[in-house]
Amino acid sequence: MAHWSRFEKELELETRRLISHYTSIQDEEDQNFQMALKFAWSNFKFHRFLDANAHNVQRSINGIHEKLMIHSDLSKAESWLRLTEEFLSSPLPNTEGTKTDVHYSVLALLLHLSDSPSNTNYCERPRPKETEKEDKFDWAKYLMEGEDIDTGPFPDTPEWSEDESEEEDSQQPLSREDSGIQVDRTPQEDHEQNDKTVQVTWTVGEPDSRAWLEQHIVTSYWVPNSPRFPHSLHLHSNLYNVWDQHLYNTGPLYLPEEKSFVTETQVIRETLWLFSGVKKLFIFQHNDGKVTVRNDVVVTHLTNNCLHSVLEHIAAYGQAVSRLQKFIDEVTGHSAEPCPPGLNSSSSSSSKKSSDPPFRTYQAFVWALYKYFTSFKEELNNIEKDIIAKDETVTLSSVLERLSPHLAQITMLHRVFCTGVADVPPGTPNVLRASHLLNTLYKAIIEYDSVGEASEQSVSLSVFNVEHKMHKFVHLSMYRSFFFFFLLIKRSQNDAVFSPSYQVALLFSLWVETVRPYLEIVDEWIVHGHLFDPAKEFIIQRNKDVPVNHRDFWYATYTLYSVSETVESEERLSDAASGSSGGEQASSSRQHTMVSFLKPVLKQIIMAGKSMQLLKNLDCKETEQPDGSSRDAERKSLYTLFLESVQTRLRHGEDSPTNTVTEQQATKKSLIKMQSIVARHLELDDIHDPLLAINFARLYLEQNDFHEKFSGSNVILDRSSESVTCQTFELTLRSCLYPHIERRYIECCGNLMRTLKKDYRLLGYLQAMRNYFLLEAGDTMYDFYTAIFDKVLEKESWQQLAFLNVQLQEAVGQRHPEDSSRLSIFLETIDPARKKQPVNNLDGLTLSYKVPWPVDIVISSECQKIYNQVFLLLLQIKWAKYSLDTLRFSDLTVAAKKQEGGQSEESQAKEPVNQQIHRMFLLRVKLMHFVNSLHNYIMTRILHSTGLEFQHQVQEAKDLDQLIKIHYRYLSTIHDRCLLREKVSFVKEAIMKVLNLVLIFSDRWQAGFGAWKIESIDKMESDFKNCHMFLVTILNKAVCRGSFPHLESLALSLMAGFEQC
Amino acid sequence: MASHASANMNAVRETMDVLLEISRLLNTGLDMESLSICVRLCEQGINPEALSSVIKELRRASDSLKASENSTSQG
Repeated sequence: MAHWSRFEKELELETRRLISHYTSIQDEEDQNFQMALKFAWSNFKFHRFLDANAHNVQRSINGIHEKLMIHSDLSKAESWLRLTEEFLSSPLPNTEGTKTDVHYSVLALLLHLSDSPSNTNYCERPRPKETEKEDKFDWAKYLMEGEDIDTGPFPDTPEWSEDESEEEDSQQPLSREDSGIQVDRTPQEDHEQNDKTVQVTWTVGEPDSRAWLEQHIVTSYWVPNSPRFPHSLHLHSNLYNVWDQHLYNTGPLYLPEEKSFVTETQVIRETLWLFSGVKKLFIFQHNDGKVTVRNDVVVTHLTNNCLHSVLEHIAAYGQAVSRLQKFIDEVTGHSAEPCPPGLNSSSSSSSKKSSDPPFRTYQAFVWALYKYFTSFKEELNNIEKDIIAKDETVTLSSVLERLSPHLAQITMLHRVFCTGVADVPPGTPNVLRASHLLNTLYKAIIEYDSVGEASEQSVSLSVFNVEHKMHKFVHLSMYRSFFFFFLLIKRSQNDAVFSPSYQVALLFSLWVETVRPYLEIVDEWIVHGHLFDPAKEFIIQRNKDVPVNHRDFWYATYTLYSVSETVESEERLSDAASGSSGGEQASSSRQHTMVSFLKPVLKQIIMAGKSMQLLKNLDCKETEQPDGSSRDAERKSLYTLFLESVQTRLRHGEDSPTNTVTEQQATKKSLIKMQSIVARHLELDDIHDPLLAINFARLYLEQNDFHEKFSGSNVILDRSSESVTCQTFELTLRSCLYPHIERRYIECCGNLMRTLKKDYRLLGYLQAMRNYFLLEAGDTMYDFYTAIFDKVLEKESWQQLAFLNVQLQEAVGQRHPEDSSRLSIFLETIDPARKKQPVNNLDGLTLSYKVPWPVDIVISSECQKIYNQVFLLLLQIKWAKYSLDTLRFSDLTVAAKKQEGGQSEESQAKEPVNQQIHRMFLLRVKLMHFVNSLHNYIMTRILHSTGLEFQHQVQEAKDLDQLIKIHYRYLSTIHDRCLLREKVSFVKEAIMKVLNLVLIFSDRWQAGFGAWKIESIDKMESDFKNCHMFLVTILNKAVCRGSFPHLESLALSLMAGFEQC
Repeated sequence: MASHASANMNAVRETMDVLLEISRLLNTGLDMESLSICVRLCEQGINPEALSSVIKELRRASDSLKASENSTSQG
């Protein structure tokens, strides 16, 4: 081979090297080596391949680039293009120039040798060349993520040189925020950060380590001027650039701004973080509780406006979430961010809270919210896990879609929160806040319920429309499959949590939670008689200054706070005078006052509570008291009972016979209706298939049933409450809450009534009142008043307290010794002007009966006043009657005979004495008739019969309030019927005149004939006649009108007396 | 001149680095040494396609040789 040129020798050398390199045979004399050499030579020399063609190679290069792009190997494609370009423009060892054939042939060689470049895991292998190009990259910023390096022992963690690790140590540990992102830095800090990064320049020598870092650490997009992440150059993923370019081209004034590019995943993650309550974010910024979107954030595949509008939407939700979160933190007392004391209002309020008793209604509300947020965050976590798993594509819109039911709920919660909590001006008393919150929830439930139904209807209608439009194009044969398709759609709609009833369910569970403190207060009150409400949040407040064993306890102890929604003003309605009826009237006059849900049973609650407290304070002698405490442990609280009833109602609501019957009827009705509609629709297309029509109709109904059945089978309240709908909500309350309260009310008040009647002789005291004030104990009182009347007759002074009391004690002590100590009589000083008439002599005489507690709640001093008025009237009548009854004929006749002897001539001039005496007799009888009629009327017709009625009602009185009312009614009735009312005072005056006349008459009679002039008889007669006539006319008129049936007997008897004279 | 030569050397080394990157990207399985041999061969006018077929053949042969050696040593 001497003829070989140097060139060929070199070629030979290289070939040998190649072979020895590949076969690792060092011995060139080896047989195998020789064979390989021969093979190589023959191939090199005698081949049929074309020379490398620059165009072909270039085409291949482009082809590979495109292929990589298609495979979305963006980084690979980019580096491929760049590397080949660079290679072609660089010199080769022994070749002059660039882009020579040699270049292309080398590339061609590599292309031939290449082994499916798109398929390899090249992207996971280090590429020193590219990282070298990015050598200026700021590693320190990469490392701000920090944790990967700190945790250290990753198997593939690159080894650092000593210097580098020292540098790492010298770097300050960077605090990691919740999100792992720092954006809330002042420019100053930013600058420092930049300085730091300048100082710490990383020179990572080993290519592997760089690649590792690049793949394991998030690009720090939150840093200004952060490097752009590599992304596809495909049109789809460059919409922003294209649009930007378009704007730039079309608008001469368009100024491209500096934007920070983020990936959609980053946006999604920030969104999730925002929803989970993280405050320091890059894309979303918190400003005084407001969440705003950064303007300069863009993703490559969306235009700025598009992204912004989506993010604005999210920010609104985020704001709601953060507001609710803040509220939760405030109430639970720990701020999410520890701030210096005094600076933050929330911290000061929380410190203030610690001293105040806990506001349980808000706490319960917060607890309910918290429970909801737990589930919400679970969902967020699931989404984040999905993102991490990378099993499926997670886009922003898919995340929003997935969260949409939650977001709708959050909007609703926020609205409820705003109206129920946030809008309440600071400084409002707790009772207002609590009742306002409960009212808001209550109203929201009802509102959403009706809205929910409407929207459900509209949904089904719209589906029906779509279906109608579609089926115009669908042949009948396809119709059946179409039917099943719709069945599927319907089912999926059912499953969607978006249904408004879910919101109602959420509201309901919120309400159930929030109402808990109230119900517990009520429970504590009506079971133990103890209104435990340290935060003063219940609508009824105990007035501390009134002790239980006070006479005013029943009226003045509790204040009912009534909240008027319209004026937002607080009104204290002290349910005085008429018991709780005052509160009742007030509540009926204002529709939105106080806690609406308690309104129907408010009276019962108040009654039961007051009764219970009273009962607890009475030393009950009942036997059930000792084991009361042991029973209390087993006793279920009102709230538990309520929950249980709600659950059973939801579970068995369908089972109740009446329900199913009506439901079936309803179903049948709507089925027929639906069928007709569907049939009409089908006929429009000339399709007459009644079976199909029925099936369609059934489909729509099924949807409703399905939902109810589905939710009804669940035991957990939160789930099962989904079926609580509009009509049923109030029904639910009525059937689940009110009966328990009602039962408790009946029990309490029954107990109280029993105790009062049995142990405290309530009935006995009422009887005593009638005995002494209404003179039912005739014999006793007769002894008393006749003593007085006798004194008057004898013209002695009877107005001495000692005398009166002695008489009273003597009279009472004989027959009712137990009452003698309680009864006493007083004389009220009366202005002398009123004492002109003899009948008014008795005025000022007041009987007093010391009623012991607690009976004085019923028989109050006001009652005694009325009793006294009647008592006085009775005394006056009795006096008149007595003075007429005690007149003796002999008094008059004896005196007359005396006179007859002395002055016979005188008297003969006028009338004979006998005739005058006879006139006196007649007048006396007339007066007696009148007085007796009146006496009869009042004692029997009025007092006795009314008393019987009263006794009957008292036996049936359910609660103390009712009893008090009955007593009052009784008193006012007798007051009325005794003509003591102002309105009929003219009647009373006439009667008084007659009584007066009687007294004068008897006085004259007593004085004897001749002590007065004969004209006075005429005067008395005419006076009496006038009064009598007047009364008869008046009473007749009243009787004829029929307005006073009880007066009938009086009118008749008076009339009878009148006709006779 | 020496500086020019050294500059040229650096340029060539860079070229070779780029080339190695490309070969890695393409998954050719060539290392630096074989790559430089190939470049030199190409510079000497060897047809790249022929060279590639030779390399493939050599790889295959060497693999099979090693495999047979392994099997004989084991047997």
